[in-house]
Amino acid sequence: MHDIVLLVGMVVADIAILTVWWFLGSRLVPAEQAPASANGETEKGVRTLHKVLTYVCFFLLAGLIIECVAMFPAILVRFGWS
Amino acid sequence: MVIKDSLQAADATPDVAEQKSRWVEPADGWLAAGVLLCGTMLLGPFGAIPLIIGLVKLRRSVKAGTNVRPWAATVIGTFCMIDGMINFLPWSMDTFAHNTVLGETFITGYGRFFDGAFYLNYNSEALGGVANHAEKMWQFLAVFILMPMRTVSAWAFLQMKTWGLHFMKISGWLYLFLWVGYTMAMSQDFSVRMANSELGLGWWLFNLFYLSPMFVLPYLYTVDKRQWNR
Repeated sequence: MHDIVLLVGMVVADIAILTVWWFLGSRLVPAEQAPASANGETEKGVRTLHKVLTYVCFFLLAGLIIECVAMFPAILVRFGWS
Repeated sequence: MVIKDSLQAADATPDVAEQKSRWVEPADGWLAAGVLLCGTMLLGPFGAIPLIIGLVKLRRSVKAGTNVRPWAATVIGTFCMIDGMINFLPWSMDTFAHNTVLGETFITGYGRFFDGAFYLNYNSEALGGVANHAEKMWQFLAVFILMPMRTVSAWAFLQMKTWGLHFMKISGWLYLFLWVGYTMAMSQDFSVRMANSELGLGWWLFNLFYLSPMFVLPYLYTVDKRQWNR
């Protein structure tokens, strides 16, 4: 009984994973077959998405720049040359 | 490729060829210099200056309406390129230059701060550099496949090349694959890696800045592809 529960659980998990990838794959259409809406940067939803992603990526970019600037000097100050 | 280039050359008049600029945006030279210097990590403090100048110039161009490339593409492309560079160059330093003073100072210093695998038993295995086998495996995948691919695709993306957009998608999925695997490897080895560093738990915060595929892939699949036509 214990094994059956685990095996059924595994099958359910596998189906869930495959379903998620099916959903994602069906949404990410290649360029030459994309529906008109996929090219519509003018659509309000897409425009909002791009705005949010731009802010997030700008924040992450700023974080990476700070990391690049600070890492090596911090290593030298804290540990010196090896 | 040869045929395509030959056709373009045959079609282009001399005047048109002369007018074609080197960069999509005039400030892209600043951007490239800044990303390259920052990407070395060692010269990061010098790279921030041209990078910020480039971004400010590009932002002004957007506000003035003289830009060719959308601001979102500039931010996302720059983010991905610097992300690719700072993974590619330091990891390649551990791969090829682990016996140098500069390499050992930087890599073991990083290890002491964030990840014990980068200084415990350093240079003790056959391939040199980091001794942890899982880390070495990810390192080779990153240095020879993913990170150079990510870097060049981000630059081609910034230059509005068709293949740049295409390769950004491919490298985005590969990056997601690497990020999940790397995070799992780090978590499984927590006791010998992060626990043996000064800011071990800080790695989780640190790692958030490498979540690029989660934010970039939605953009790449919704953007107007016709703009990437160079």
